[in-house]
Amino acid sequence: MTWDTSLLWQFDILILLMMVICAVTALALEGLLSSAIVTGAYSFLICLMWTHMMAVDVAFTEAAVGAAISTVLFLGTAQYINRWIKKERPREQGIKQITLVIAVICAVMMLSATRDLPDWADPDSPASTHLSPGYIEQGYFETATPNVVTAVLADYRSYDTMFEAVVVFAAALVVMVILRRTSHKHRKLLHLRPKREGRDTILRGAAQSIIPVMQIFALYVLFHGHYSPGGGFQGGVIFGASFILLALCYNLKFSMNRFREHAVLWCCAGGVLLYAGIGAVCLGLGWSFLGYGALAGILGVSEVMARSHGILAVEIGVGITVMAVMVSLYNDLASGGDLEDGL
Amino acid sequence: MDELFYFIIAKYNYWAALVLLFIGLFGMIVRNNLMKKIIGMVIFQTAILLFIVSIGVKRGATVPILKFSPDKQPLLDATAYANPLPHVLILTAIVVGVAILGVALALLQKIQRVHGTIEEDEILEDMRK
Amino acid sequence: MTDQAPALMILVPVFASLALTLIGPLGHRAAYGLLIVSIAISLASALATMVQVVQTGQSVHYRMGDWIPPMGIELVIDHLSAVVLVLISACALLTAVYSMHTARQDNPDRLNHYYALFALLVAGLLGMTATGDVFNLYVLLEISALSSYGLLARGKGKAYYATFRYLIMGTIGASFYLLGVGYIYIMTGSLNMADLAEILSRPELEASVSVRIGFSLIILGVWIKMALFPLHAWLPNAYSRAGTTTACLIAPLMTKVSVYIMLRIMFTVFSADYIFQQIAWSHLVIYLASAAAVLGMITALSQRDLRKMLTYIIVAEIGYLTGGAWLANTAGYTGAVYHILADGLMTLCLFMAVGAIIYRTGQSTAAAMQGIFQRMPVTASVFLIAAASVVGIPPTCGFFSKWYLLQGAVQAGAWVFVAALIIAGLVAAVMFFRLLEMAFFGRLEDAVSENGTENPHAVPPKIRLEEVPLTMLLPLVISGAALFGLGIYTNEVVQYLIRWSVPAGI
Repeated sequence: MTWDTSLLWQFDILILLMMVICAVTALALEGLLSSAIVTGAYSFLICLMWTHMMAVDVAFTEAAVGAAISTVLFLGTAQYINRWIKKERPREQGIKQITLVIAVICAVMMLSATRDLPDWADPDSPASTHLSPGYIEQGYFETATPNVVTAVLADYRSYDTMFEAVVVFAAALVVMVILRRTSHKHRKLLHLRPKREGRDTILRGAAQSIIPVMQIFALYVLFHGHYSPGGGFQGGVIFGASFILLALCYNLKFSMNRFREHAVLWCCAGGVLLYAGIGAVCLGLGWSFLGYGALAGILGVSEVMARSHGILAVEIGVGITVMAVMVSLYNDLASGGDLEDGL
Repeated sequence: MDELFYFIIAKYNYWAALVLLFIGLFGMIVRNNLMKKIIGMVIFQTAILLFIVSIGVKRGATVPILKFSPDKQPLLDATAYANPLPHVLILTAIVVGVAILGVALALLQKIQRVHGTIEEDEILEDMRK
Repeated sequence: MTDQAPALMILVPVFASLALTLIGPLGHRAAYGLLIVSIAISLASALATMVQVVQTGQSVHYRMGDWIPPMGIELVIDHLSAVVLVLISACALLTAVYSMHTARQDNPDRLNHYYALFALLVAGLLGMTATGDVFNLYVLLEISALSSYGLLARGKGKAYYATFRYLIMGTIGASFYLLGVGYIYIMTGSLNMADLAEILSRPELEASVSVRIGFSLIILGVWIKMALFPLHAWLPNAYSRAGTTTACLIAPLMTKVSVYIMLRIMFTVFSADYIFQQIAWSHLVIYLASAAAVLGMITALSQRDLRKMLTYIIVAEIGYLTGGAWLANTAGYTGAVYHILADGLMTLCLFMAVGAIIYRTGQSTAAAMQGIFQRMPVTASVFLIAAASVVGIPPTCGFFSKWYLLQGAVQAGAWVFVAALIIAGLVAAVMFFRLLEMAFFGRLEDAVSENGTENPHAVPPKIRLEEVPLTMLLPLVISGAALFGLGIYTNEVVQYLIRWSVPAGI
């Protein structure tokens, strides 16, 4: 009957409570803009929670993706929709109520069944003893990558990660296909968008000083992913965020002059192509798909180092795709698909 | 009392995840506004992610980045590092989540343009016409 | 090259989709050609793998990144997945050929992006079928889901809201699946299907509540994805508002692949013994399946819109498939797997025929069927074959799958399911008889004279033959012939492929 005080459960419970409050508030508020902001706060809280759970890579990604990009996407969309929800009118909600009752029963059952789960943070739970020690103990000798998460992500389970890059690529494609269809006669429907002429000098000054630093940091995160938290996703998202910041502080036209529509599309596909291409090269050399060991002959290094370089190469591919997709999503959603003016 | 205390300490994380899960599900099913449904979806997904990341925690363990001894040898005690596998899964799942969010928001903009509203009952009325 | 075939069949469409995104300036013919070539390569790889599986009698394993499972991800292609892979790539190839005119009609802009999503969807479905890893399955599930949202949203006006509802339901389904995987992972520490099966068969996990919850969540998620009654409400709206090509691609494949996943989880990861001894609700599923079959068909009967009618037939067929799987005997399982094939082809055939009718007549209500036999004889004949197969008339394959299902239901003593199968068959017969009567004897509008009054003495106008273009007709005829072919070679299919996949213990 011992629990490790180093886990600081009081802190956890405080954050979890705040998360629940944020979740309820986000769903209850009548203003959609404020619910979007509260959702952003919720994301930050979950980042804290994850950092505390030693899942630094995850927290990093959530901070970049969930808290930053998602909030911007929400705000970009909020320009084009009714910002206030209508009061719920009483109406027959038979099916919904039945669903709700079933959901509550499920919730009670699942909550009571947690007794059966291994204790939280139990080092002897099956999840901690079956596969993961193998990754920790062998990962370094097989991939020369001290960050085990990077090694598992980009090597042991790199097939997953490739499809993850394909998922974001698909998202950019789908959003493009859905939104960039506004014919010219429908432009008047975009009247909800506020007109912005000039931008603040202070904002521009701040952007000028922050953006280069952001981009350098993004590259650092990407290339240092072997040794520290980070990697292709995080680096890509931060790099993409720098263009979004540019668009926010100047305007969409300005940022699109720097990173043109065609270039964005090429980068979206190019990153995945780089990833899958490396896999295909391995396949062509007689190894399995994504068996980076095949690159040893080409690079003139040992198989272990070849794996390490392979990881870096595919992370760059992921970074390019994610960066371009984030920019593409912002461009489409914030401009309502016409790429004229953004948030 | 001690028993109960221990029970709470041992499971609270899973409880919080499940509570958040059902809050999100409630938002997705019951709320009438489509934007609220999307926010519910975000909460629902992150609750699942929270649940899965919780699996990876080990008492007394640190971040899963290998530490090196002064003579450049990695310290390979598996109990000293958090379980990396759930982290990898969740990294993937977060990215999937933002992809779906983007698509959902794009559809939302289109729905507003076609139907002039994002309230579910009004859309259904509009569609019946 | 055959040992790389499992990877190639998934990767070639991925590469094709990347290339299709970028080749917009080359025009639609290049896009069309590239799509067909890539899916043809997939089909060839799937066939090569199936031949290998049948010849050796063992499943093919492909280790991604040369990592030994369960550390890495592996593709496992056994008799069951080989069959489904061939079905997917064949249906996709036929639809791709068929899409030449309809896709351009539905997509005046961004046709190459539409095709890119098409290829991605095919890659996702193939990947889901081939994978041997439960989490990898989730990622691919989301890829196919995302690309299907994009494809469905290309429909007209109301399609956006229908797609949105599908997105919400699809996300709930996929998230439940993920949560279920999480529960299983907590208790076992593994994600590889074979490894999971080994760990889950240990006696200490038999009574675990968490494993049961995990199993229930996964199955619930898959049920939402495959639109099992009463979780089906999203499907008819989403599918009936889609463009013709989209409907032809998604309707036969998405739900069938979900059924395949259900079979995988039930019999590969878990076992029949576990499910029927430990899961309390497992005996109720047969009632759900029966309700789905009967109510789906009856709702289909009441539809005026042809496409909507077909989507409710899908809901009913899902009932057949689920029922067959949960009968837990060899005949039921054989029927379910055989029906995946039969129903995939049937649905493809029906949607293509209706798509052709809509393409020519421009309307999608049942009235469009009037006089179809005179105007489009080939299309109408194929429609007749597909209808016969749905009703279950020999020698079409629909008869044999129903035969196996009935046999299984009788053996299991599931009389409710027997009744449901018979009633659903009769309702389908009524529905198609009504349509075909209209198609045979219904007068063309031209027969009604100009001033609105009928003139019985007028010479009937010459009926113009308005058959659809060859690119649409050819896949249509092939799929119609496949319904016969599959029916005639039922014995061989069951003997060489399906019998091998019957799990131990049922």
